[in-house]
Amino acid sequence: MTDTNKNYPKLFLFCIGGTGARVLKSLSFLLASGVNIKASKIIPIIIDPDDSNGDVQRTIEILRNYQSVRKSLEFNYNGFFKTDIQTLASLNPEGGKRIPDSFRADINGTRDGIFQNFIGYETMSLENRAMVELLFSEKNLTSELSVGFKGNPHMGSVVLNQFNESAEFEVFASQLGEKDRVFIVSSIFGGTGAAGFPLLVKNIRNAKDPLSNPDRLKNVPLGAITVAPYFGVEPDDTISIDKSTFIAKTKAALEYYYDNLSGNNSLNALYYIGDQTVRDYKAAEGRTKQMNDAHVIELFSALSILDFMDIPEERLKCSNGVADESSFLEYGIRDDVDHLNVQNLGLKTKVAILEPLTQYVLSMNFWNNTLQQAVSKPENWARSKKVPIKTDFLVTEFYRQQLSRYNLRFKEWLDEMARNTRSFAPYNQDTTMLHNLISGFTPMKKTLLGGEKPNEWYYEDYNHELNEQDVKLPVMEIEQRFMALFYNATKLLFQKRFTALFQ
Amino acid sequence: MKDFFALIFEFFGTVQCIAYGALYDHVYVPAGFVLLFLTFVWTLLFYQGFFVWKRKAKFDTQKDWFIWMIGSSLITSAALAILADAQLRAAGKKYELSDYLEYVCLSFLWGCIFYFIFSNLVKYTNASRRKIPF
Repeated sequence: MTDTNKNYPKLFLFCIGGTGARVLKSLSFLLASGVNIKASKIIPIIIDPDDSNGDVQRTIEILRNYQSVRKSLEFNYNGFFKTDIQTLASLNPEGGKRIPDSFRADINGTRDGIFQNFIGYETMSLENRAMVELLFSEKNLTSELSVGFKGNPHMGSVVLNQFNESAEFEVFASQLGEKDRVFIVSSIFGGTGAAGFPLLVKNIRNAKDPLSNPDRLKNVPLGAITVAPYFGVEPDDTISIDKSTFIAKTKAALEYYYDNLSGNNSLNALYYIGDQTVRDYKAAEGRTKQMNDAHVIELFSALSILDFMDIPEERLKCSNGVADESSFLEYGIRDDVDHLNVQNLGLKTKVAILEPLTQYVLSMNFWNNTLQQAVSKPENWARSKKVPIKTDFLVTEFYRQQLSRYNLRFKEWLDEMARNTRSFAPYNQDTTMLHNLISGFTPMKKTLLGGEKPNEWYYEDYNHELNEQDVKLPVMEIEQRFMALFYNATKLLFQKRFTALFQ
Repeated sequence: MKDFFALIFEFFGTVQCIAYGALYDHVYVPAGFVLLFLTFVWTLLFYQGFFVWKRKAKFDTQKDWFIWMIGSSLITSAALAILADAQLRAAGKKYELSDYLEYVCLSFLWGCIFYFIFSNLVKYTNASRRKIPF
């Protein structure tokens, strides 16, 4: 295996609002497991004025953790964490505009203060004030901006319209390479995402001097996913977010998008996704309280990013800010059931994610259940003469602080999806009967009499595969060897034990 | 061939067996071949996981290897004792086990030595046992 991703373009990934952050989180877990994306590096830019938003904070922590694990690895023999995820600031050459080394873009004027101060309400003439009062309620005008727009896209559109004047936008424009692509993730039924998405598209497609590379920006391959309602919020008189408005807002926004985005070919590809709003979360007006359980819709939304990067370059041409060809795509599952498992996914999804995801879950299963025992014994794969993996490896910064911490989040993500509605529980993560690892699927084998019985397998089979890989690997750093061993062993285990899933 | 196997079975023999001459005439050659064959089979069985655990990391520690060496060499030496008894009877010689006990002990020892030698050749046939005995 060689690191072929270097030949691909960069992907600038704008994730707007809480949904954007949660989709990014799902994407990071897919990439950690080695799902292939045709991008040399991904530069996520989270746009959310609510800097203490629980979903955003959790996603940023996961991305930082991803980077710290990845830093110790090479990818000649290992595919876990192979995709490079970087901050926008890390691309910025010396002498460029200084921006914070963060995955979140700062929006001027939103850190403190209320909406009416932001628009200069106090200094307006009486006539203008009257106009503003027609458009915004008193509650809108006195809203704190640091908690986001609380389901009010008309406020968001005013505030986010100045993002194109920010240093982050300038750096983004200056670092946009010739073949690079841009993708935008947003929800249509909230405040920040619904407002930010069309503005961002407008600012990209209408780029002009003094912004760097205005022509390149105008004609950049641009894709987006807009997430329709897939959860609700519990009624709460003290909170301004009301789920009964979600559908109406979605309809209104879709009409607006038809006139300003999809209808005029502003985008090369636009993906739509949504679900029945079966589950209501406790309402939260931003800040750390806004931390929803992961949902399978976010995972499927992340697949749109992979799909967009798969589109051949010739089909993403633009002229003067208008796409020559626009695609509009939706996502579907094979069976409309409340409790999804891998058998309910379409073949394309299975092919794209099942093998790497299962590999990573298999690795985590081993690390959590039997790694300590295996290195204490030690198993033969841990007894390498040149790079032995001993129990002291389990207390290194790499394993204990970085990888284990990342795995906790990975497990949490799978657990949350499994308990959400609609639920997605692809794995029995902690099972020691490894043939039962994938929910709803048991590998079978033929008996001598022509019948079939479960093809059971356990850690002794797993260790054997690790032993096989140990022989094949050259000398390398212990962290790389550890990950390469598990990547290659789990790849073969999947191919030997689980390929019937594709039938 | 007789001299070759005699060299093996008498290699450590500072004390001569009472049945030395009869063993030389009737036993060393078949016993030598049986020793080599059986030891190779025991070694192959171990390294191929008894063909049941061939693709499993099971029964694959140095302790397991050592126990199997002792056990299989005991069986080999017992087989060689039975073989010697049968060969000597067939030749009309009357000896008790105590008369050729040293030959039996040397069979055990050579069983262990050949097991060790074969192990280092056969170990490469299975990734889970290729680091055994070292």
